[in-house]
Amino acid sequence: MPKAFFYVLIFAAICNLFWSGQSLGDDVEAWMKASKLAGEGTFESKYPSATAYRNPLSNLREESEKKHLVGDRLFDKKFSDDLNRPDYGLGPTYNHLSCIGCHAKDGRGALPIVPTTNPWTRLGTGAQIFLRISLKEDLKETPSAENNWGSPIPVPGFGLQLFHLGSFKLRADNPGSGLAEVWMKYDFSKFTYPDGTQVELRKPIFQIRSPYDETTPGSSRILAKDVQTSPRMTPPMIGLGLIEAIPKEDILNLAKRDLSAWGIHGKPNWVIDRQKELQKDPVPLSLGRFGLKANTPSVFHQSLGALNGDMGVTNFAFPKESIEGTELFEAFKQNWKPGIEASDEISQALVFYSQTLAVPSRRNVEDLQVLEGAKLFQTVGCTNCHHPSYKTGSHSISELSGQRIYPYSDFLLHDMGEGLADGRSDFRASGRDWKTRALWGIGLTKVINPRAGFLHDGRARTLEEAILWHGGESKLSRELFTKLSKSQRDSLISFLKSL
Amino acid sequence: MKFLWIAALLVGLNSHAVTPEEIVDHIARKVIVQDYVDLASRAADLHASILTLKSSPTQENMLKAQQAWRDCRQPWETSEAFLYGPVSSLGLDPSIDTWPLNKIDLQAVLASNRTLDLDFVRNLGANLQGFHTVEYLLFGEGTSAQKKVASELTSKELEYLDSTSALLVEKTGQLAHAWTTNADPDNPSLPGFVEIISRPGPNNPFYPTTQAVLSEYVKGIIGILDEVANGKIAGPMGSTIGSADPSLVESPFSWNSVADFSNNVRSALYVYSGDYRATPGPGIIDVVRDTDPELAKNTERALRRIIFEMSRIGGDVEIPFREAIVQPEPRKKIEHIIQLLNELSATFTNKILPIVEG
Repeated sequence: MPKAFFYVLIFAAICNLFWSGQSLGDDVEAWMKASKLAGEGTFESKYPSATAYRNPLSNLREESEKKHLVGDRLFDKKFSDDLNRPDYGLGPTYNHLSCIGCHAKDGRGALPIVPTTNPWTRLGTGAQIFLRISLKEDLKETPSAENNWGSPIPVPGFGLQLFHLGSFKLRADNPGSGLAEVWMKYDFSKFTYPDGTQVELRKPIFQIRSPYDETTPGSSRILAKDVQTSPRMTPPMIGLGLIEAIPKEDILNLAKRDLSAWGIHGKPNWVIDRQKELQKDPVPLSLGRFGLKANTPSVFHQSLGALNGDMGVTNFAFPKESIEGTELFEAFKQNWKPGIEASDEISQALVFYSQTLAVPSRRNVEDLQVLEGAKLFQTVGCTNCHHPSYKTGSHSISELSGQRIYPYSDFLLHDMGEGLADGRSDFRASGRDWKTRALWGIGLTKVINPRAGFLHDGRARTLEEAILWHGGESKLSRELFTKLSKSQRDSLISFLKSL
Repeated sequence: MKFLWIAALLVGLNSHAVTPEEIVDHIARKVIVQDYVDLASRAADLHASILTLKSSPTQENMLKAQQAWRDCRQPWETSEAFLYGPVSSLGLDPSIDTWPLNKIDLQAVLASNRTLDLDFVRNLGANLQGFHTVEYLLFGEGTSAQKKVASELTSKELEYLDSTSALLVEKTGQLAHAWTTNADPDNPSLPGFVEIISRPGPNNPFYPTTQAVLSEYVKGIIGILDEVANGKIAGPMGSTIGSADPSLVESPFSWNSVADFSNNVRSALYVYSGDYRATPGPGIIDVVRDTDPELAKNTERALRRIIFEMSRIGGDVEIPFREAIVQPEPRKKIEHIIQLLNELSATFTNKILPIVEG
């Protein structure tokens, strides 16, 4: 982009800000005042509480609601690694014992407690974050069966996810540990606004210790230079079925917009679709919609992959133990019972539950500060990526079909800059790319979990910190945000808190 | 004369209409915080009784330690109508109360030649920590035919009991501290969660109004009534006697399952009435009474009735819940209790919540 044009754009945007700060005018768009973020399925409560994310879609029919409630129980269920129990299935490596353990009250997770002196702190049984791992590779411009459709390359002996917990008998050298221990501490920095206001930022950094294959210090495969790691904080569970029901073309059309003046060029991720694989589709790819790099295509794939991955519970979609083929697993096999651990009924109920959680309605939509914030949200360019609204298409769960929804995301990948980069590619997502996060319900994050963190690794304690971490394609928007007056910044945050 | 003056003052005090703000404050400080303080204190008592048992493993000390476990279990179960705030956000629940425990691995731990100290236990899976691990070690299988006695305790079991109950002291202490003193260790300037929940207002990050807190309290009640009816009880019950699964019943070794359920309902009663042990209300009942005195009274009765019905599952005979669910007569009583719980949950959802939210 020519530099002169860049400055003209900033000037125009700033003029617009001053104007918008003076009057709300008549150009209030429908999304700015929309209260029912999930159409007829929106959960409406006068006073949203800690259970605000734990409700079925309001428009579910009786039979559907019964199915949802069955899934609800299973979502809370703690699986066991005791061979003699009927709820056997946990492990032998895992990150948590239950879905709800990470998705606390179906909301965002929180980073572990690190003492104020900031020492390295070990991730334990209550951790709501884990590391994805893979070998360094170049992005595959032409996915094919030969390059496994561009999917990440597993770390030999470790796979694609670092499980920090394990069954007691898994590792004689380190009982209770999984593939390795994961330790964490913070890097702190400060951001200073043009008006002199300072904000402390923190970023979790991770260390892998005591990997199971380490014979001499540093000898483990997981510690080799070609291994990429990326932290993943638990995302909220709301509205997933509705995202699934957005017509593919609507998302792809957003990728065709010319936003070059803003430096924005969202791209779709095309990822392996487990349902297509099961149907023996020769090209088992679909548009990625879920996961922080849009690396899974459906709630089915995401939920059952997590059941298998995060807890080690095999199911009909993912029937292999997550560490199968490793030396660690071979040595453990005598303590393990073969077979599918989650019945088809359990698996389907969990998927249905995940598809049918409601999004809470907005609060304070008529508040003038909130409305001003909505306009600023648009003016500084947030809506370029946080695309407000869609109408859902047809879905096998009819209650998800034909709904006007407001997720505030284009579901596309964007380069988010070095500050957020994890350096790990995932299908067509580069090490700097992240999928635009949906913002619906975000204003209730802290009501649900007071310690919850925003962004992919939970680093941001506040929405303001999350905005300040935006870089790359969102750099211009962030700069415009930082040039706002304190009161305007507060208005924009008020709008986000109303979602 | 002096007596009349005091009586008049008391009448005056009694006629003081309690405000919603006072109710919010009372429940936060005199019910929730007091429950968590009791939990931490009883966890310390449990650990102390285990240390006594460890140094002198007599049958008398065994029985005392078993009773200390039951006493400690009580405030934990009576906390389940208020699962918002630190218990969830600090991720403490898995270390305190993971069910099921892994008995195979527990035996392997005991058979190992490792030192079973606090750090060792801390790094084990959550299903080898907390209440149910202590329960199993203290009570054994707890079947009618086999009740564990002190002479069966091994030195390894005592070592493990010491460490895992010490961990329970640590976790319950963190929970009480988070409510009373600092809600988030990452943010030392934050007060205890009690100050956050009891002082709603536009600048409160979580609760903008008093009604929002009252709503939270009532939703907590609804949550536990639903969980007891459709999770803790209906799960192991199955839809038929043939599909009942006793292995899913919590607290089976101590025969404490029904006490757990009763204490869960008591938890709802504490918040509803505002009465906690010897400390009287006000509670949610006082908000309801202003609008619908009959509803207020009947709801309290319904809570008490469920607690009573739970005590009568075995009739005049004490039978553990895991045995009750596979016997026809007790099953009928349990099915009735589920129905009562669901009806009451619907009352809170459809009648009481709209009243407190105004």
